[in-house]
Amino acid sequence: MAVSTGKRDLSGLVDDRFGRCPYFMLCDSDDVEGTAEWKDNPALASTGGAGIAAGEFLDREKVKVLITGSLGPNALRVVQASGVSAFSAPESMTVLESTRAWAKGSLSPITVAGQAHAGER
Amino acid sequence: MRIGVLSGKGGTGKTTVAVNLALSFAQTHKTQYLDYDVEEPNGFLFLRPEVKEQVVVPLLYPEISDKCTLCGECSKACQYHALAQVGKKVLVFPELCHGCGTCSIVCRHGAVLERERPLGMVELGYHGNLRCVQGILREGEALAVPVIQAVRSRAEGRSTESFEVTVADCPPGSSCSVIHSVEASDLALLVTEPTAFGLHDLKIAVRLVRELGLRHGVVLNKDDGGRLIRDYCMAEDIPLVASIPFDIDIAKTYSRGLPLLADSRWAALFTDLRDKLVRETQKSHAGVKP
Repeated sequence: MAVSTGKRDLSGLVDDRFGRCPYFMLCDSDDVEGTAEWKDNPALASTGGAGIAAGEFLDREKVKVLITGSLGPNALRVVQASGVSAFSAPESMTVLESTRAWAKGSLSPITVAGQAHAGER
Repeated sequence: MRIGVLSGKGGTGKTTVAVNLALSFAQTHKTQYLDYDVEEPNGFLFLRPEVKEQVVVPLLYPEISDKCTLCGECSKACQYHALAQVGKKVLVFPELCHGCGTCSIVCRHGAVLERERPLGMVELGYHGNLRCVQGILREGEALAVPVIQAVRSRAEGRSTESFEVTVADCPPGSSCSVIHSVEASDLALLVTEPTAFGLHDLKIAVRLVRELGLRHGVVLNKDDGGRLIRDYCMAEDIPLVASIPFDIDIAKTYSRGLPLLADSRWAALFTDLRDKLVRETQKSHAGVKP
């Protein structure tokens, strides 16, 4: 699974930007603390289409579950085509808390696209 | 003679200057007015030409055929992320595509078919003997340059009839659109207004025309008689070629969509500017510095 975040630490907060988050925490959902690793979001500095590029990155990383804030229309298309289930977590949650909330089934799935370019701030 | 009218800041009066200068030139020279502000062309609101020709400007975008082997080369090569290879398919995002054709070049399987979609339009017409051409970018599209290039090749290409004077109404800002509209002008007219924003963006426009090596002068619109722009021009040694007063009658005429030339005061102002520009270019052709 992947979680968008601004910090290379499980105590870091969820970044509600998908295409423009600094890092993705990648892990095996069965053992988050034992397998967590952080990778730079290769789409961060894209001039455009960041959500698309981030979605391709997750596909290459064989991610099946994504926790982030929201997804723009293009990102949602890529994430869905790649067979990833996306869930929305509030920015007040730490990365670890968000994975636990997902395991308990308390995160809502992202099925509708949010605003385009929401992460450009 | 090609005159590029630009401004940096929007709303300073580029179109007012370009339209009235073109009308003034049309009285003495074979002239064309070209609206390169394709995101919101508005010169035709004042010139109301009879449109004789409308041509669609197409842009290429890829369609992936069933010859695709999912090798991923096309999406890797696309720097605009208009292609994404995920799962067992290649997704296309036409609105991000710049039509560069790289995807079809890198595809070794002939799976990229290039399709066309309408990006905008070029319209050509006449107001009396003044030829008027405008580019129109379709709503929702972001790529202005191909439409600008289409105006340029239709109106300024080699095969078309020659004009003594071309007035190019350029877009605001200092982006690629402005560069493609103003480059190769004999003279750049920088229209500004006496506000902090006007001055700020004028400075950027000045850097641009200097970088492009264009002769340039400032037209001060909505002139309140203050020193702000005059002091800057003096300090930078930029000629202030015309000043248009901050005047309620001008605002009223503009709001009715009428050219300013109907009023003899403003007609004289543009005649003066026209004659000054003719003299300046003759001097420069004779090798004399302005």
